[in-house]
Amino acid sequence: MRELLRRTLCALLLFACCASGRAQGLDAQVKTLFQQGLDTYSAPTPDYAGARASWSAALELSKQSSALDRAELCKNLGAVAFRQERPLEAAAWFTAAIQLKPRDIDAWSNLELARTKAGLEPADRGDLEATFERVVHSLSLAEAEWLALAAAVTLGILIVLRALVFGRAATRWLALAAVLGAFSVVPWSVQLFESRRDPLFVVSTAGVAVQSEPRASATKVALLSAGARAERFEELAGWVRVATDHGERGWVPAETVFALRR
Amino acid sequence: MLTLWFLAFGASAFAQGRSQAKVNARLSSGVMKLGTEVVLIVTVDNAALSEARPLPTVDGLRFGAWSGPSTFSGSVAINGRLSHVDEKTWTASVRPEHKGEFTIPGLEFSVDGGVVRTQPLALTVVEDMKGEELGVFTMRASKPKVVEGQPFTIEMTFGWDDALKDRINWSNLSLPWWSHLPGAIENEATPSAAGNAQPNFALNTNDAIHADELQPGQVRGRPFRLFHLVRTFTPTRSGKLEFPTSWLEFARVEESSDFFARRREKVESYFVKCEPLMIEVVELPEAGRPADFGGAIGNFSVRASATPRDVDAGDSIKLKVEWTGSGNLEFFSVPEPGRSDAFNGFKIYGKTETKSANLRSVTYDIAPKSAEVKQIPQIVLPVFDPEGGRYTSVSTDPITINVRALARVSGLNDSSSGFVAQNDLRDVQRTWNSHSDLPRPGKSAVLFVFGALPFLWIAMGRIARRRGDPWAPMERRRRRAKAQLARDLDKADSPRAELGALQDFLGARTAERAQAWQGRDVGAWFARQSLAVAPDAVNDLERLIAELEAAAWGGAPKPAQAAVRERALSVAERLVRGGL
Repeated sequence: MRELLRRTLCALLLFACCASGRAQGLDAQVKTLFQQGLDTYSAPTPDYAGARASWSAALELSKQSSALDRAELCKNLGAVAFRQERPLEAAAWFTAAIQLKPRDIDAWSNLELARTKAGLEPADRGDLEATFERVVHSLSLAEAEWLALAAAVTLGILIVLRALVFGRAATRWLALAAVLGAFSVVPWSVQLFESRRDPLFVVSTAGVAVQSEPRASATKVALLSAGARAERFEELAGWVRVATDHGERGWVPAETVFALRR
Repeated sequence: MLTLWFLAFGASAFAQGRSQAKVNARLSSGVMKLGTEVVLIVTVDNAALSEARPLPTVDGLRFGAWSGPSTFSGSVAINGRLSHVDEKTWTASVRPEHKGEFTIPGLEFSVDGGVVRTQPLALTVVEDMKGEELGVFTMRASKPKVVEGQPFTIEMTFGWDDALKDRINWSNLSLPWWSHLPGAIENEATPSAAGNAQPNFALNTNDAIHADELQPGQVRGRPFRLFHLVRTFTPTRSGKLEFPTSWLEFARVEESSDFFARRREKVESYFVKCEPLMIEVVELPEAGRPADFGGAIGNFSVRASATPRDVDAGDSIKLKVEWTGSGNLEFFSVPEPGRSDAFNGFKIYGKTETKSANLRSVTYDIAPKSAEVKQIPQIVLPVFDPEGGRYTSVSTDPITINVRALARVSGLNDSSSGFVAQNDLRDVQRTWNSHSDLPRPGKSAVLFVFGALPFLWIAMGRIARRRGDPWAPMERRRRRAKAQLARDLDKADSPRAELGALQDFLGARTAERAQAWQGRDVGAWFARQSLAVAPDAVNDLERLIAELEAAAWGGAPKPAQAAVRERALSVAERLVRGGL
């Protein structure tokens, strides 16, 4: 029995070491690719295609890395697309970066520039709806979760305090905490809902027709303009099944849309 | 057999109760004065479904639209027999255009799936000879023939013999074309000359209108009180514009009132007719029409001004252009400088417009692009001249301006180096710093904590109640009951009122009516309850109630009010503390 326990512990330790070593190896690889991309991008005659290839590979390898690392790579890939005169794709990359790192000022600035160049309206239009959306999305899912948890714990503490201390002041603090708690839950619930979705961004400058079947001659059921958002449901070779904001469902060529979840 | 008899009786009773459908038509009056109006009334009785069909056309009579139906449904007793009546009534106004004998043919109504025709109606229209003699009403058009879009004016002059001036206190202009002139739109009314009196006239009976009063004039050799009304129209299509016969009614109206209503009665009334008028509208000629013709028709003059005229390149200049004259100033499209090559040296930001019947004003916001621009070019408006029957144009004069180059002045540029800031991407990330994500507490943890809150609330509420939370709802209700008892005792001026206040308190605390405590054995009641009320409190309560009852009903001496108040509040406090 003791021998079995010893062997199990050894196996677990070995697995942990391997996993850690593999993670360190990946990190080194990503770092190398990042530097390669930077070198080609910053050369006196920049090789944007090379930089794009290196940073795309780095992004592929960093699937398990932190969202902040991936946000930096998305931002750099957006810069490459912008320099290659592909403002729609650049806007898509910057949008993906903001989803990973919501309060990145540089990404926001680059996004607005790319959208302007692509002829799209600003991402932050400044109206009430856009402001609400920006506030709700200004936290990452983890931050929103912590905020909601903190609000719930505060509410719990105040419930206990009110039962022990009595008095109107305790009741008022509790009511205030309940209201603030309700507001604090909004970003978390919105992001929780959106985390189940797989958003796409139309990068075809002429827009793209949504077709009833995944073939070129199929009936066109809707039109997605350049920069429009859609949701991905499934994929076939060269085709993506999407749902538009208006509820139409159909297929679009895969190269016309950009997956925002990176 | 009995059933059959009942069915037969029921059917016969129903047949007797509901008569056959009948349609009746009548006029409110069979004889009328020219200018007045009669009402055509059609009644359909006892029809399940009925519908009015279009009115016939009768030369010389003008029918209004059907109005209604108004319905009446009920039972009426005729000669001791009860009948059910369903009555629908339609009405339409009838106005004659000339005197004579008229026959209105049978009116058709769809009744219960069939078509029913009423009997023809006779109408005699006589001229109001006195009205024609005492009144005057003329209508004149500024032009008998106009082109599409060319405004024309209708001038109406009307009035009555000045000898009637003390007797006439009401008048009505009956203008059937008012607001219903197909093929023309009415222009904005020009304000009347200052100082003119503007009496109020009824218009088509229901509306009101002001008309300018003129100086008394001579009509048919007699002094007349005269009024003047002018309206301008712009025809929108070619063809004939018809202004049918109009009427002026002038009358003396006497008012009377009683408890129920105020009445107005015409005691003297006259009608005077205005002959119909027709205007011919012709199409705009195609020949010679400029491509940029914006629909301007008339005889216009134009003036233009620009401010400021000494500017930096890119600065805004307000170019104001005003067209005046006779024509459709309100309706044409103004020239767009942005479409003219002459304005290539300018950036056009937009324009603001104001329009009226006498003036069309446009202010263009333009900016010279460079210092090479020396003048604001002409603004050319293509116009159709209806007098000459040809297309022409009116143009502003070029306006000289002084434009300074932007590089020598402040603006977006640095004055010394000529540096121009441009917007560009923020640079890429140049160092790789491996970050770690903020650990997530997890959806389950958040949901668990939120889910636990209601249970925590309930548990803490129980604890609070057990500890005697002074802000718990029950405690607040107890405090309110005691305060109410104190107030009631303060107001009580007799043992009966004091007893009532005490019973009110007990009723409120036991969720019963106060009367439930009248004659109740208090000791026995409290003994049955599982309350922690001290026995001395119950005894005190019993004693107090007995004393108050004796004073209120048994003629015993009245106890001192202050003492009663003190004892009652003390008992109430102890009862409440005991859980009541």
